[in-house]
Amino acid sequence: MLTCKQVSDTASDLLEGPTTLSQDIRLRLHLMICIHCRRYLKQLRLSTGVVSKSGSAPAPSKEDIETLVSKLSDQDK
Amino acid sequence: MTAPMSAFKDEDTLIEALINKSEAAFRHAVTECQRSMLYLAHSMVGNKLADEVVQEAWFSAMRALPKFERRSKLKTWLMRIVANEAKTRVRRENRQESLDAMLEPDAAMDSRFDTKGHWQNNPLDWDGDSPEALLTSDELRACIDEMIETLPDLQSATLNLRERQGYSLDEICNILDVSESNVRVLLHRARNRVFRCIENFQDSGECCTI
Repeated sequence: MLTCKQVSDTASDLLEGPTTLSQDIRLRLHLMICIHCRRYLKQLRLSTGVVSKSGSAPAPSKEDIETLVSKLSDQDK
Repeated sequence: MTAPMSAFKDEDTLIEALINKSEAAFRHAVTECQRSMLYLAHSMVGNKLADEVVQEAWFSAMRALPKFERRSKLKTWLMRIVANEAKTRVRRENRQESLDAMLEPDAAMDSRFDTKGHWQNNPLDWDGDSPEALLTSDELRACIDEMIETLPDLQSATLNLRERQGYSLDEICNILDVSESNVRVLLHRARNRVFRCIENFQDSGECCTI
């Protein structure tokens, strides 16, 4: 039987997709009886969603693009 | 005169045009890649230095392009050069934390378990079932950004590439020049920091970035 710490140690890998069948079965058995690990996994997944939804990269302006293009074109001239 | 994007029918054509210093090719490549490159640099060196790091990366890349072996996509290769420039900058400023230190056991997380590996400090039940619900608080949004800025450069970069830019673990290994097992650890540590940050905010209403 997995311990809660073992579940926590591999939690991030679990979010990346299916692992081995035996690990998957052991995890499911653990989660059936452990509300804390169910909550932790759910909230770790939520945390990743928060990171992806909270940040944004502003698109560079046309002016910035043209400045860089002209620097690259002038390089080694 | 701006060439239409279709002027570059595939990546090889674009690379050849870049090597021949075609302005249209530069414009195409910069338009396609600059946003991602800046986002990565920002996560590693902060806002103030990101522009400089990315510009330096472009110059290095264009010098090295004739030797580019094309084993990865051009954009991934450019991102790798940005990561290298950023690492050099972090090293120069003595802000670098070694990879080994970043991979050490996570004491804050480990202390939540007893000697048998059971939770002794249980996860709190959060008020909010979706990222959107949690992010209705502007304070939490600011807190997460502030916390991510305090992460060591490779942890922050891994989080940025995976969660915010959607790169695969394989691509992240290539960009950061780190093994897959280490990328997994970096990602797990960073995610746990975010988890604890949100949990603390839910519990106290205050931002704690440690």
